Amino acid sequence: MLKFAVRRVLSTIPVMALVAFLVFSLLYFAPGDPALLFAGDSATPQQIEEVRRNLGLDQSFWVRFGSWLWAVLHGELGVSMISNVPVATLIRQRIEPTLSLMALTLVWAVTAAVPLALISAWKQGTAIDRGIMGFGVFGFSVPIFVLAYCLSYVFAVELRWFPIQGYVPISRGVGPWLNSLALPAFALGTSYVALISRIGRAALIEILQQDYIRTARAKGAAPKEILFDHALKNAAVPIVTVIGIGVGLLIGGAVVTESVFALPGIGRLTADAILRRDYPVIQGVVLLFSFTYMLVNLAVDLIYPLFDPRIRY
Amino acid sequence: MTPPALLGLAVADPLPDIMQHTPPRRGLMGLARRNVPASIGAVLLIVLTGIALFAPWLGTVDPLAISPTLRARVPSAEHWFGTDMLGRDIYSRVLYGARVSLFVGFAVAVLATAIGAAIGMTAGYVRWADSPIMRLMDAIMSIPSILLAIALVALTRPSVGNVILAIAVAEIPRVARLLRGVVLSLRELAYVEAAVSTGSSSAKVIWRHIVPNTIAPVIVQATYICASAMIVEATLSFIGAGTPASIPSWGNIMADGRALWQVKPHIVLIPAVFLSVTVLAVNMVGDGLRDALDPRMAKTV
Repeated sequence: MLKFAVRRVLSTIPVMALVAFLVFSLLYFAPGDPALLFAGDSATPQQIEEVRRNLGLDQSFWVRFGSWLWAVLHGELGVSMISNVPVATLIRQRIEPTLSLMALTLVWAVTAAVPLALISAWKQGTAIDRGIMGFGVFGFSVPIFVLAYCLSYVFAVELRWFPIQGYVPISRGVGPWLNSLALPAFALGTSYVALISRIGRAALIEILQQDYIRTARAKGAAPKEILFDHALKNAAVPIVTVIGIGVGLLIGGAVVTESVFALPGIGRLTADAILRRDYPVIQGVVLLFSFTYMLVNLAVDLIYPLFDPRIRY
Repeated sequence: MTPPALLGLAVADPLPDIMQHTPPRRGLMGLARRNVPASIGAVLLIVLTGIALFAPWLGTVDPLAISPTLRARVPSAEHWFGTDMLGRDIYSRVLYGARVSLFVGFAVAVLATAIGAAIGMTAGYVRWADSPIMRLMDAIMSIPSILLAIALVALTRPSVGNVILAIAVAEIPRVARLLRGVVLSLRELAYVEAAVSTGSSSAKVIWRHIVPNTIAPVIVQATYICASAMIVEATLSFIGAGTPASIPSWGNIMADGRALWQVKPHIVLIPAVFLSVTVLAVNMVGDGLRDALDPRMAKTV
């Protein structure tokens, strides 16, 4: 078991290295000369050359990749071309809103999606099932920012239940914090709910057709018992898998959601960096998000045995 | 079990059919009746394509013409969808915007499926190429797709072509992975082994036996890519990293309307409804195609 877990962990390392290489290449091939930017407008050609040497920009691709990777492994992600602040510092300053948004979205989306999948699978083919699945297709089709604007118009502009924009740190109280994140989390989570409930329903329906479910029904087990003890336990693996895969969706969505609701998080940092072509920041953020995504899916793979003892590593 | 008649028991006559037996309808109408959502989606798509193609003849004016005196008007007889911050006619902009969204959606779907299918089939069929290709695909897939598209567009000059390429790159690994799986399971089948053992060349085996069996999953996947590409294009344009601002696209119209959102929500809402309906239509067609082409999956998902 431990051997497989170790092998699974080790197998992500080459993929991570490849991601790092791809992300580095992005910056390497980015148009514009960073030396020119750092040296300023009034620099002489000699000064520019000196900056270039100091930044190591005169080195070959592989030497630069090596030293960049070395720095990344030490938690240094370069320096912003616009604000001259280290990218790692920028990310640290802005991680709280993003983590809060993601955590809240994950919690409400999973608690909403699993019961929806259960109801839908149990009532397969009925109007309730069709209604839930119809909502699912709808959730896939409405872009996050459209939903975000509709929600903010109804609940923030018209009804004034929630703030239109902005973030309240959790240190200023859980109530205000929740209040500031309610609309963003709802907007971000809707397509995620659609994804999880759709896959969960498919997994559950397949399981509900198995012989042991029929046996359970035949011996007179209550629907609650069949659904929770027999079906949901066995559908846990695909559901947990799709929750992990869907985190990629959440990350992309966070960029948009944070822009709409003016949350000072990493997503907003990304959107701003793109508009200003701040390549080191784009690079750092893409790397961070990709590694997070990979680690989440690695963790999902490693916890499979908790849900299904037949899976052994 | 022995039929009761043979045991000397009386048997009632079979009851007449309650429902009159009607043969299933054939042809286009039959198909449409069997899958109502898909046909609604198809009709919507045809209408939207018509709108995009015939935009200049549908009572539109120049979508770029600004008129500073008529800024941010609400819908009226003159301007059916109102005007935006620069006084541009939103009706014309939305109709012309349909061209960008539909074109990006279809182009990404075609490009990503074609390249992804080629890569996936190579990985599935050529054993030594499998591992390196799939590790590269894994790496690309580990970068969240919107983020990858954003980073790629940020590298290049914004243009519709670059947006299409950037979105396609993020979608290629998904197609490749699907196709590789299909090819791997196909090549273990007896008829493929028979073809190989009777001396068919690899090219012939792929073309005659593998490709025809991959068409159904590829088409279904292509429709979902089309839908997601439209959303990504609008998202990129919306955050200002997509289609150039000079080209009216639904994402750009919404980006322009952001500043006036609280007072003039129609500027954002009208293109939003068009975009959502289009994506919904593509998804409904995709679900219908999946039901028609892949009955095993249709039962569950």
